Amino acid sequence: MLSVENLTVYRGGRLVLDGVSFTLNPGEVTAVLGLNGAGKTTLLKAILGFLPRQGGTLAAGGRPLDRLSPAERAKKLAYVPQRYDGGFRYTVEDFVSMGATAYLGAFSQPGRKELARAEELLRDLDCGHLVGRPMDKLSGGEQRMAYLARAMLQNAGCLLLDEPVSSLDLSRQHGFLGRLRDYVHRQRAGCLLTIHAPELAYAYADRILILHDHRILMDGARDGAGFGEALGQALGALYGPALRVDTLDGALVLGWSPADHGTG
Amino acid sequence: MKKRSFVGLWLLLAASFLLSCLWGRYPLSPADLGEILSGRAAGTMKANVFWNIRLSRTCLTALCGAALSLAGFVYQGLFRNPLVSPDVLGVSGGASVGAICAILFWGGSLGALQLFSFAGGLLTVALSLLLARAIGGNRYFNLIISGIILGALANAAIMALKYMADPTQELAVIDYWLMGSFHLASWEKLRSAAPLILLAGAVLVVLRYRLKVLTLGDEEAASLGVAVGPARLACVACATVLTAASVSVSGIVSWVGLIVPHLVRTVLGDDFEANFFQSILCGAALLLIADTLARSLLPSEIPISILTSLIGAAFLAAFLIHRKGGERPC
Repeated sequence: MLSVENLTVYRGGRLVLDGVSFTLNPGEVTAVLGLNGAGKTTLLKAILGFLPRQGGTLAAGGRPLDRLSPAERAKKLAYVPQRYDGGFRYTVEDFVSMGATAYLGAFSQPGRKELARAEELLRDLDCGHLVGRPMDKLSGGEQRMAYLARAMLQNAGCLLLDEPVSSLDLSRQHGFLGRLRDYVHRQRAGCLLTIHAPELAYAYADRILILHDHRILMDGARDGAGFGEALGQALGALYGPALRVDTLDGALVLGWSPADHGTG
Repeated sequence: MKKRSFVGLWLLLAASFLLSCLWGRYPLSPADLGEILSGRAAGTMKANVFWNIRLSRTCLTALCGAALSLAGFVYQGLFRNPLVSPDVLGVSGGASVGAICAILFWGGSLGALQLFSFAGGLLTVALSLLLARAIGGNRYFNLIISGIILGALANAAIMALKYMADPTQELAVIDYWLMGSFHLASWEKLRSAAPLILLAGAVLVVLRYRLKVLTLGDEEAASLGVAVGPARLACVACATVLTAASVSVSGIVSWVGLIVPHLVRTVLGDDFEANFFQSILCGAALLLIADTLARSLLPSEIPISILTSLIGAAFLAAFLIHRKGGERPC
């Protein structure tokens, strides 16, 4: 699917990623956890080719990403950025239809067929009511859904999402991640998303990667033996002794005891 | 709605074209026009004015209005900034330096004036792009700051050249050129500018969807499969040719490229595909109206930038006050 080998990235002379390696499997949601500045966004942007890397190889479907044309690459990797920042006012379906760009001839643009498909995808995500509305007028949650619909239209082998639920309320976080997981499982797509909430990662990811000190501290599949303990330990290493980790009815529950902070 | 707006714009363009052909120091009536077109007035003063002066001027004005507005629309999309005008990369400043050099050192022959201002505009934009690359980092910011730097350099050169100019003759010619005018329009000018403008415009028509995706930002455009670097360069090159070609035949016509795309979006509604063509039609029509006013308001012809700046500034103020309610995305 997508394989990342020995990825090393410096930004502004500072080491951000130091020999990071992993492979995304089809039909699996992989969540990346890490502190602020741990390099989560850098990881996504380096894979997408937005940032130069100082070492490592990237391949999708057995082909090195560097050798692909922009359109071929767009058929392998779809990207959902942290926030919407359009320079023009588009309607939602117009925005979603741009997901078809890689499949169009160099001089053509999305037509009736692509627009109809865009509206259908929005309806499938229970967002049919957004059709016709300007993208910049939507709430953060609605914009996320439009991005998800666009990524579905792009029909890439892998989805890369940069903190897709950070600014959403609780019900929209669950709504978004649930639909994302359904799509990834159904389409057997690869999926890498960065996220701050370990509870959400635990609830929706099939696999969790933890980035710490420029490297991968933990890489575990949800079904694997000892996953819970390994995750608890890794989170402890990340957040320090103040963090309390427990499970309740199969959900991860976190607590915080600042009194213990720093006592080791 | 979209269809109606196009019908309206075509009517406006046709009306302003007709107005520009008929109105002026030597007025023609629609009946005269009929005679002229049917050939019955051949050899008369009327026919002479129409064929040799009025029609070429009208065509050239419409073409330049369309070119400047389209260039403005393209630059505003590329920079994702509605306050960007076609000379954001210094094209007007460079064209001015070229034109002044032609006036001072080549006796101001029309051919030299046009060639030098066109070359000056292109050269300045090329230097802006190289400077932006040398600075590195954020693309939008760098291009704008490089354009400001090159614009300042061009301005220094303009002031120095004006200082050297003979105040009784050359200086007046220079100032007149810097304020823009279509009074020297001719078929010859149209023949030299039209192919460049039509070619650059045609390339932009072909690239317009790529440009639309680029307005999402470089990273998103790349992730959707657009070759960002080449697409962006092609758009900048075409918009620069449009601007330089029109400035080289008319002198500096300010504000049109900034205002028309705005006007179109505000009045007719945001729709990238429609706005692209609406800017072209609306720019041609509005510059025709401005030019008709410039040569008929006063006994002597007014430089056109006085009118376009006046109308443009008033419109921009009204636009910004209207926008206060947070109606627009940028």
